[in-house]
Amino acid sequence: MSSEQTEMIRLLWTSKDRATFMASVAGFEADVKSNEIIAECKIAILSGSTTSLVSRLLKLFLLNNGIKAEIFEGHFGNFFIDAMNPSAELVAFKPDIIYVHTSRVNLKSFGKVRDFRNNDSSDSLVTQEVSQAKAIWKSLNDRFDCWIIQNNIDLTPDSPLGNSEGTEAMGHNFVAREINQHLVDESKNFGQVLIHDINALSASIGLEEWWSPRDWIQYGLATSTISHPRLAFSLAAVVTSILGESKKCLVLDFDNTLWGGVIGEVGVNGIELGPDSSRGKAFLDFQLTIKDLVSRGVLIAGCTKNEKQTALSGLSHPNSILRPEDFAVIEASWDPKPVAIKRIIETLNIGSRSLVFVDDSKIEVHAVKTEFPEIESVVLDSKFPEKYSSMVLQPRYFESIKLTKEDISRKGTQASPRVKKLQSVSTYDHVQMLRDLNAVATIGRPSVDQLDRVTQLVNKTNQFNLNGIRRTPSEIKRLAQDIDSCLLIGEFKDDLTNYGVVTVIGGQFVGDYFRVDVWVMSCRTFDRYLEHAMILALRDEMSTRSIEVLNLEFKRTARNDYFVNSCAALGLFEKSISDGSCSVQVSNVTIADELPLKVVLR
Amino acid sequence: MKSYQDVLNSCAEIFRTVFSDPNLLVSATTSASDIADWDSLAQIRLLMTMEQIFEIQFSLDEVEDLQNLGEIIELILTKVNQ
Repeated sequence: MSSEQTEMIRLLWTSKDRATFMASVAGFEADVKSNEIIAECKIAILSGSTTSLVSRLLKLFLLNNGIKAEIFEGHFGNFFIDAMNPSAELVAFKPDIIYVHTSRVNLKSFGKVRDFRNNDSSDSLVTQEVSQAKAIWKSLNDRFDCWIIQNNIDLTPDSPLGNSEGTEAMGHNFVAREINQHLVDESKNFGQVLIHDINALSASIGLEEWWSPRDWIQYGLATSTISHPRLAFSLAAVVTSILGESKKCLVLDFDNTLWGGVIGEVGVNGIELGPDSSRGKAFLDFQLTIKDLVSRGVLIAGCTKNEKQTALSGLSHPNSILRPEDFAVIEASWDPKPVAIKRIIETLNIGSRSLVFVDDSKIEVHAVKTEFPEIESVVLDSKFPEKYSSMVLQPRYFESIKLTKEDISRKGTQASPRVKKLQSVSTYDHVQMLRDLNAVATIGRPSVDQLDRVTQLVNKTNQFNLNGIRRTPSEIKRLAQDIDSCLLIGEFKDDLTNYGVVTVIGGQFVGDYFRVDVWVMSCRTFDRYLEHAMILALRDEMSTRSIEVLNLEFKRTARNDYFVNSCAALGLFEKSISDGSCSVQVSNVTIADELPLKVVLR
Repeated sequence: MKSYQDVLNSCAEIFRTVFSDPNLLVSATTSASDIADWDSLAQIRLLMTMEQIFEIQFSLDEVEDLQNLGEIIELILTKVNQ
């Protein structure tokens, strides 16, 4: 899905943007035209009111889901006759799906004066409407072997009786609810009838926006123009699920997605998850949403840059709703996420198109999108974890037409892998992806007002950390200002994000070597070759004093495995290094050729 | 005060967006018969976008008998310059 198409979906959730959406329909149509087609279907729309708008938008959203739809529109308001006595054209069309596009404007009582003296007449009103619906379904069922989507009844924003509209037998809303309940009950007796819940949809949009007297009177639209995109979007989700093209697996990042904080940095006791803080509650809420998906049969997979043990410890946090056994697979490693996702696809033996990937990191999502454009990817903004649930639920990725026993019993590792041909996956080129992002590392000595950030970074970073030793602000200040010391900071940005100061290296010139006491990097910029850039910058500083030997004051901590691996890759020391000083000729350090970032020394 | 030309320019832009044609040229005499895609649906979208851009509202009768773009512009002018 291109970025224009993601934008298209994003515009749907506020009314102001929906107006923009309506103006840009033609543009969106041009965008989705080139989408890969994975399924085709024929849909007949039987009209309760004007259908041209919903028809056009439905096509658009289906195409966005990779489905090419051919649409037949019945004559205005002719749904009953078209169903009971289908025209030759409709028969020849051979629909896969028939959509009965009715709403409250099609009730026999619509626009009529109510007879309040005769309260019992509401019963017969309900019976009449439900019988008519059943007759329609039966007739269509007899003539066509296809799915039927039936709108239920929306409520009215105008309430002459006020609250009594919902409580009195003759109330509009009372009658609508009665009919809706019966429609659901009766539809269960038909194998292929689905009730499209416009009652809930209109509530979610807001009835005053959903209904426009002007659009009704002028254009015969039973739903306001600006509500149409949401109506069509909802329908497209239902059609997509009928065709079996809904998503099946949610791939989840862990840190700042399932809980607040980076567990490798703050430890299991430091993560935000639980009722003690607002953020903790928000993450708990998101976990509940996911657990709900799991219990109705959506597969979930973990995809986290962490040591496996560290990742699992988060799921055994006492407040964690999600448990390791909820996951069909957990990929915890330091590999780029597209590589990890490829392994998830292989393990689950599932089509890549069935995945939805969510992560709070723009670069991870960018990397996955670059490699797997067919995977729906969602960037979560970790400043607002309270929005996570709706970001995953609103697009209705996991729509299912009817819950089956299999859905409910499918869970976690017991998932029976579907046999599906694996889409070929090219080799992921992480370096090229980074290069395309135009990353820039600006390295130099810190200004006075940057020292607070340096102290903070040194004292809260655990994974990329030389020795885990905490420093006071005055120690940092000395390192920055003493004549025989050197402290370098690296600021980092790329096309997606400006990260600010993310890495610090510092120490003392002692005799004929430079002793590194401090070296940390934020986990947000791991795998960006920033450690190479820092060594390059430090080498420059050392050469001005003709110093060639680096001496690292290393100490293994519970969490700095990542640091050890990174330095081993640089050839600074062996992975098996033990605590203490370790010396290396700076000319022997293995700096990657052609770093995928621009290094600016200031 | 918006001039006739201001409104014409904005409308031309709206037409180009709605019909997704960056090269579309329109004038006061342009009517539904000149643009193949100008159907009832396009009409809704044009009027809706104009209402949004000019922050006005057309009444039911006003939009009933509009013959061409010139008439639409005249109508918009009376509303924005009230």
